[in-house]
Amino acid sequence: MAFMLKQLLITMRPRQWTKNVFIFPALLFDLKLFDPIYLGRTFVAFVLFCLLSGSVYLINDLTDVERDRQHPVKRNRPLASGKLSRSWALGAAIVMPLFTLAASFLLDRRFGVIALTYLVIQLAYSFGLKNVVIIDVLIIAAGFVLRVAAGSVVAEAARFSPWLYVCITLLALFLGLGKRRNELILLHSNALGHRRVLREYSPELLDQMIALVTSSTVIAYSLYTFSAENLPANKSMMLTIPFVLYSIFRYLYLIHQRNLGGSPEEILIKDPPFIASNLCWGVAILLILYVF
Amino acid sequence: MVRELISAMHPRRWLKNIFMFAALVFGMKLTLPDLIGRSVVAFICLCLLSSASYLINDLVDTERDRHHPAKRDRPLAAGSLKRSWALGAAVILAAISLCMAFFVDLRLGLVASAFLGIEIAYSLVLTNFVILDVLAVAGAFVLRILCGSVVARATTFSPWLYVCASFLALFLALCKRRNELIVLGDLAAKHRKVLADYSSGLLVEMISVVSSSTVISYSLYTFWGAHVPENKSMMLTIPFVLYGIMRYLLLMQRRDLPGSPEEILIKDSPLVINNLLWGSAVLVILYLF
Repeated sequence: MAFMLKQLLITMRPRQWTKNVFIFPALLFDLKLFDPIYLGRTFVAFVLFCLLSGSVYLINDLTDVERDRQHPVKRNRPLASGKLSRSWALGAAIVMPLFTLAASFLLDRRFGVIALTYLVIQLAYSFGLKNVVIIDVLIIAAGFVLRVAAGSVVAEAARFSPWLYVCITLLALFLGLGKRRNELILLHSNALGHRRVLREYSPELLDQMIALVTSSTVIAYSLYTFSAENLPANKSMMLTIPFVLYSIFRYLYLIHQRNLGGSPEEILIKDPPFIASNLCWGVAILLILYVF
Repeated sequence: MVRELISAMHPRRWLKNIFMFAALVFGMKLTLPDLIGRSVVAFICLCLLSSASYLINDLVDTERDRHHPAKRDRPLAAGSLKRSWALGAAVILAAISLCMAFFVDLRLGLVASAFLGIEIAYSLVLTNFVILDVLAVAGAFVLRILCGSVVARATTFSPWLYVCASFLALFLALCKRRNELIVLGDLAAKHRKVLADYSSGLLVEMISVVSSSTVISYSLYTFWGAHVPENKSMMLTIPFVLYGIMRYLLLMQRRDLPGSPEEILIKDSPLVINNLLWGSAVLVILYLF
């Protein structure tokens, strides 16, 4: 029982849950970080999104079991290796999304709608859209935007700048494209078998798209620092632009020179300069928003 | 002869002139019949004017077109259309359409003259100058929109759309150069002299500047444009623009494009569907909300 639960948890990829921190920006930027009610609501929303994204991985692994068995790394996944029984996985894959969606609608009706949209989009991704060039990365970006929107709804954020949505869309596209580039360069012909969509991309094309989204991200963020409503009048928020620039350059460096980028969630917690820059950025944001 | 003449007027390329209606749509004048009428007349003027400029262009390029695998079949290059006919037609078309334009609106006449001027300057001179060639293409694009804006009396047409349109036109022109370099390889410079001055790397860098500028200027329009709903719902149309640009980048890498870079805009079904969705979303947001 405990073993099965553990395997179930592994299948739900807790490491990927870090993406769900994108529920919190609305709370942070709408100056409600220290409001216990909204903090509580947002935290519940975070947990619900973790369960929801876990369910998607579960469903994904259930459908991909045959293909995963052929893959050098993925064959060790609980379902592919047989450690997690199919009936357990199937039961959880049915019960968990239903429970999570019901809880989401109870928390807030609009949050429920967003959670449902998220689930539908992610399933559409798993069952086909991941093989459609460009749409695949746009769906990944949509996942991030929906997380932010979900956070905005539960925090009842009235002053959340629309520029941050643009910024997050572009940033998510950047991460998605960086990942494709990494897969394309590292796995060569092996990659083509496992992710068909990679055949449509080429490193040059991905570099062009990355150039497009990175420069747009920087501008969208700069526009946020100038034009958002609840920022200090002395424009001190623009002092945070260099951190964003550094982080983007550092990430590009990791993609190009170190062939990383395959798993953004690992870079996010493993590359010290990148972490330092993000922490400095976070501290600067907190100081400017809450202290000044 | 007449059929050859019409074929030399490149009616397919008239499609570019629909950008003229942007001011009518985005200036919220789509429900006013008299302005629609004026715009249609102006549209016809622009089509005739651009035909005159294509005739002049083909007259200038006849020799070079004879060596091009696809362009050798053009009426002038193939010799099925007399040069005197083409020249005469160009002058008459230009005269008629300019008269029409001045008759409709004095300012339309002026903008239309500028349009013809820039097109002729492009055919005769600018096409051979690196960077200036794509700027001329973009200039003609903006003048098309300006024509529409003048006849639709669009006083609140967002300036961001002009910026966006210029970048988009530059993007399309640069992508076209890049595709020609990819497809023609070493022969590229023979077909288009200016291609000797471009390199793939240079074009890629310029494309990255204009593509991101397009996305950002469009985003700025969705936030601060005139007539955009208060609830910022226009920003929901940004993903279509992103997809369109990315899809176009993808297509321009291909060696086996099923048509010229412009024709792709109406031939590639994912792109067409995307553009239709974008158009409907814009109409719904502007006129229903």
